[in-house]
Amino acid sequence: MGRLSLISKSISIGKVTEKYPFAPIEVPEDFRGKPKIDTEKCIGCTSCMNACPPRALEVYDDLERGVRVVHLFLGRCIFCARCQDVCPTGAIKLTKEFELATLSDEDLHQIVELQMVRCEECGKPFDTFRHLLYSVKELPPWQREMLFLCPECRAKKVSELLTFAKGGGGYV
Amino acid sequence: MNFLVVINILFALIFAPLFDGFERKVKARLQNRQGPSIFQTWWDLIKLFKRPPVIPSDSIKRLYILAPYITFTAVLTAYLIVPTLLPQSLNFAGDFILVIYLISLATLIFSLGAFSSGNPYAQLGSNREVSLLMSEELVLAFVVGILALIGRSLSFEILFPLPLKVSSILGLALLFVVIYVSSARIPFDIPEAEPEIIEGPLIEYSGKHLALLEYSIYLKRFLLYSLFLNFILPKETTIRTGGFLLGLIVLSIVYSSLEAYYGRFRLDQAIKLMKKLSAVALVAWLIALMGW
Amino acid sequence: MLIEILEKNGSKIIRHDENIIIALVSNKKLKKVAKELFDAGCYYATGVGVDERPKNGAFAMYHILNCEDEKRYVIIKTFAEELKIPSITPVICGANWAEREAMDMIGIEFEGHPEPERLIMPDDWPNGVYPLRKEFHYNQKVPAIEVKPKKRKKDPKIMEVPVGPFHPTLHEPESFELYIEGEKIVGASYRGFHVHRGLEKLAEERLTLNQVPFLAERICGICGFTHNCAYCQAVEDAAKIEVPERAEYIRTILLEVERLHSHLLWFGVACHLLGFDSGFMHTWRIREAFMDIAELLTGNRKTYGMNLVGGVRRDIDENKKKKLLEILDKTKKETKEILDNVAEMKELINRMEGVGVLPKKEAREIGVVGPVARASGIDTDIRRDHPYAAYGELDFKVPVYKEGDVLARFLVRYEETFESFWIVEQALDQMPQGEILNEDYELPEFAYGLGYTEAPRGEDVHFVITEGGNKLYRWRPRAPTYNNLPAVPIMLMGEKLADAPIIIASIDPCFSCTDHVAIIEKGRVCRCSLEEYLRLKR
Ligand code: SF4
Ligand code: SF4
Repeated sequence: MGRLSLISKSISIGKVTEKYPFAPIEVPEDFRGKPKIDTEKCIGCTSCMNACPPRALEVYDDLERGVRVVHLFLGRCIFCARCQDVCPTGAIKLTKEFELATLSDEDLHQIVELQMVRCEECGKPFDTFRHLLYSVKELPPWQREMLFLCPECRAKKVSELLTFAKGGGGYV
Repeated sequence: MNFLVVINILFALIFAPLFDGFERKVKARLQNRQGPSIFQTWWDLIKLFKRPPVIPSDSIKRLYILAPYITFTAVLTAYLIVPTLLPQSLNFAGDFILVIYLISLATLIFSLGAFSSGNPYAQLGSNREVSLLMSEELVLAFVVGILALIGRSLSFEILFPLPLKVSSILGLALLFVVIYVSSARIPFDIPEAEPEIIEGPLIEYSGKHLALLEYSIYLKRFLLYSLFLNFILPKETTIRTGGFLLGLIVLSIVYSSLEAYYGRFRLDQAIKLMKKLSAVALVAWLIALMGW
Repeated sequence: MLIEILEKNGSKIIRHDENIIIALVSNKKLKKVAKELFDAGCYYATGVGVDERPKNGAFAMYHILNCEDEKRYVIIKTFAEELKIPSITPVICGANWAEREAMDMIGIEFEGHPEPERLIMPDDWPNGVYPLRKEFHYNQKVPAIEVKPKKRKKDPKIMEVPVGPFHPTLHEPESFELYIEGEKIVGASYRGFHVHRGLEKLAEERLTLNQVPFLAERICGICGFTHNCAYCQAVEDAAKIEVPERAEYIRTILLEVERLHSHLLWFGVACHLLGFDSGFMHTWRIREAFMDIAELLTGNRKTYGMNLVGGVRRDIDENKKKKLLEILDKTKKETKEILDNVAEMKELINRMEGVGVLPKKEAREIGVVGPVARASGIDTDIRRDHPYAAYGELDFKVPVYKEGDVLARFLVRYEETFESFWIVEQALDQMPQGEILNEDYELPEFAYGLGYTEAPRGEDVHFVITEGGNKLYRWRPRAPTYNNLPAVPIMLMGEKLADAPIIIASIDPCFSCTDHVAIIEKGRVCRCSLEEYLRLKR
């Protein structure tokens, strides 16, 4: 009897194959599709790069042009949404888009270039404007003065200040 | 007369793959699928005919290449004798035996060709093919016996159509089963059994050789359908044509539904079943002998 | 009992709590201890070779045993003396593969091993290069060496039938060589490990703590989430991290959803192998609902990506819960209907009954796990014996069958499927409110952690040694198929060739998970001489 009821079951259900790709397919609200970087919001903080398991995201500095490049290569992306978790500004978000097949390699790259700040002392670009502005809130007031110094110069300056303080100057 | 036979053959050549496409569609629907278009089998064949064949290096080349052609011709020859769309055919005493002989020849040559390919899967498949053929042969022999007894002849001319009798119904029922078995459908597709021995005998064949073999399989199934229908349908042309087409469709649907909802037998299980069936056939033959 | 055996033999107890005992055993006593533990009802879960030279100047081997009677894991650690450790394979044959793996990957020699041949590395891998030693880097390339396949003697009566590396029933690159007479199988050999991915090396060298879960998930394409869970549990065990209760429940729900989809997949495959493609279509039609559930809860159909060390990333809100219950209700009825009807088809049952029998004794010696063990009369289930996630608070039955044939394995999975429905319903109902992720922890240096889950195919074991910071020192995942595969040649002996596919499939093999462990260079094919095929029985 098993056979017959299976046959009748399948007749009563009818076709279940979807028309996809000829008809679109719905995905739920929180679907983890292609990540998209909002160029306006990204501050180039590198947290996403540190979190990304397969190194789909890389952030590197182009010192010659003085820009920081946030480079997302979808060919490596595993759609884990870790970048979305860690991004402090919500610049990177996973979209509902999942049809990524393409004929050109370029479609798989997203590149954000952020202008960098040059160090007041040594002239080396060391951080993006946006990141500096973002982090200025968290800095203690006495460090804000040294905002435009690169970490090395800043360290130098701090140690200078400290020696000065030790010398009894009462500057701080 | 001869001209009409040619029409019959052409009809079979064109429609045999179409019916396979139709069966695929039916199966797909029974499996909740959309399924390919009914022309798909034709597209497949055309594509295969265009491809160059590859011949395995450790095969017995002549046998290997010749087998598909012989198989194909053997099946095609049978169409001279078994009428399809039109009731005309070449008939002579004992043509029933010849048809059976031709069908078995096709199977045997097919197995032989596969065996010569040197592939262990093909050899296993051929082994199974032949064992299955042997076991179904006994039933077939009884079926022929029954039908011949009813019509008191071995010529289709006299046998078609059968008179309405208990023994003819039994005989046809048995023929129905034998046709199912010899058209290598699940659960009797043991020689091919894709998950077990990867299409068995067909494994090494490619290009036009494969196309020819597949074509002969479709033609063989179609031939058996026609044979069956001829035993039922009256000879007047008008009703016959309609009835024939309708019968083909019904047979296709029934056979493919059965195929979709069965699991595969193991060879020994199938042989056991055939043995039981031969016993039934023997009884049916005795009934026919009594003239019922 | 276990602790007495260890203490009696003068081992140093490193850790001892209700789940795990870790003990340092001297080389001389190793075999004796192993034998006594085995006799005390332990089976071999897995073995891990570790290059501990930077820490204490030696190579170490950890044998992980699971004691069913005491519901505890015992880890015995030994140091290699001049790269040598006595083999315990003669007393526990389940250790065979693990020891050979350590031999390939670390270069420890196991004295007295019955077949000290390469298992994992391809034949053209240079001698003396051991990928899991610390000086070897994950992106290092090594030149291939020349190997000549050796000539074999052929017995004219016996036909050799290769099943794999490419075969329609395997769907994964593994190869079985079957020796048949007529249709009867008279011998079988297996050669696997064609899909080495070097996950362990990657994890310890390049990835950070919270990146590894995503790698662990990709060990398997079907039961990835349990690997991911086992890994997180291992780290949580090592660092003693409290996981919020709600997170435990969410893990449980997802684990069971995964089991449901995996079992339905198996039913489909079994039907297909038995020639019943409509059954395949039916079960996979139902299975689609579970993929949808997963997509709804996690944002993806298969790679859930839900776990982090310390909890889960997404909550299940009321809305989702309602939808989930709806789908479950519907699919439960349908699953029952379809599977019952399939079970009424006599020709399918005939093909499974009495076929591929694995007797209990052999099953225990090899250390098979999961449904394969339960079908051979071994009452074991990690969910019940070593409760993890929220299983301790849920009620479920563990089906056990004595027959040991394919049908028994079918029936075990059949019952488990419905238990899973029941577990998900309970978990949804009892799920407490609260946090889902605990990120407040610190990773200790060189701490051991063991994570275990009952994957759809059996016990997953993940062993972790932490490095501190956010790094791991060693991570060793062990997929269930690793333990189940050696049993297949035993099941195959004397059966018909026609039954081989369903027998192989009956352990629900997942080859790539088993092979996760080694590195292979891109684009190089592993050439294996048949001589070195593992001849398990001939
Ligand atoms: S989704 Fe995951 S893999 Fe993709 S870019 Fe973000 S972190 Fe990297
Ligand atoms: S702001 Fe977001 S997207 Fe930009 S670098 Fe930082 S984490 Fe990445």
